[in-house]
Amino acid sequence: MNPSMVETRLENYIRTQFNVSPTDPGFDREADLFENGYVDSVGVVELLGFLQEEFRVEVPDDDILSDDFSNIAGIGRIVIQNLSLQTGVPEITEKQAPLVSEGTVRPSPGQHL
Amino acid sequence: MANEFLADYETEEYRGATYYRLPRLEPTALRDSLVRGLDTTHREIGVFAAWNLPVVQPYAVAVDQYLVLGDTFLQSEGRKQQLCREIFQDLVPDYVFSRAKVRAQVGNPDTGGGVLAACVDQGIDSDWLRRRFAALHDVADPAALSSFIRAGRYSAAIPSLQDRENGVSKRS
Repeated sequence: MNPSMVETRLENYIRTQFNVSPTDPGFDREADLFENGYVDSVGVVELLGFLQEEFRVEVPDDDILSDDFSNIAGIGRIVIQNLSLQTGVPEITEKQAPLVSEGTVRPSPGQHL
Repeated sequence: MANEFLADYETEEYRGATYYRLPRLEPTALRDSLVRGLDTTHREIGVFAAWNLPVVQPYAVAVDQYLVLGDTFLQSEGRKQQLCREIFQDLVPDYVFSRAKVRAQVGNPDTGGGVLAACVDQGIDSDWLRRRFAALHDVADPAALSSFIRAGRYSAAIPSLQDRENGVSKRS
């Protein structure tokens, strides 16, 4: 699982679940989902249910209340980070994945990048 | 509490508007979110505790049993009555099970009434309540309320009236 995959699945879910127009110029992965009215207080609960169901990840309270938990990119980071913490599988960043080569220090299992 | 543990809630319509909207979740996930709401609002205990009235919630002794009820049971019609029948057998008369559920918020479906109608008719809606809450707790920008509570999790405690009197403006 890499950040781009998580963001894509998140974006597809949010667009469908919360009826975001495909031509909405203000909607992107950095747009504030709450301040811009894409997701309301009930929608946050639905979003958390999606994260649990789709990624099998429990988002801690501190993360739910963090600034990152306001847009798709930030929520993607939170998912990746908690997947790593909760499963012990090191997260793979988009930047690191294609650059792994001989001599590159690879994370050991359980080590967080 | 049985309403939350059995996910026995519905939205309500009044004067063309929808109230008490529920998150679109599978029954067990909905149940979990409703149970979390009990903790968040503290409404089953806190209201009474404020008047020094101790409260015992008998359902609390069976929390583990409630939480193993699965999606199939939680979306079945008459689940609450069925569960009560299993527990109480014939100790509870039939008319108790057959009468329609009446929510305090809505009142009698024939004669009306209820807290919801009383508030809406007086212009007390969710925006009004947010402004009132903000005013009572010295929150200058009501929009800030959305940043300290998400999905039933608080980022900080609003200072109590006692704190305010003692000069404490905010605590984390």
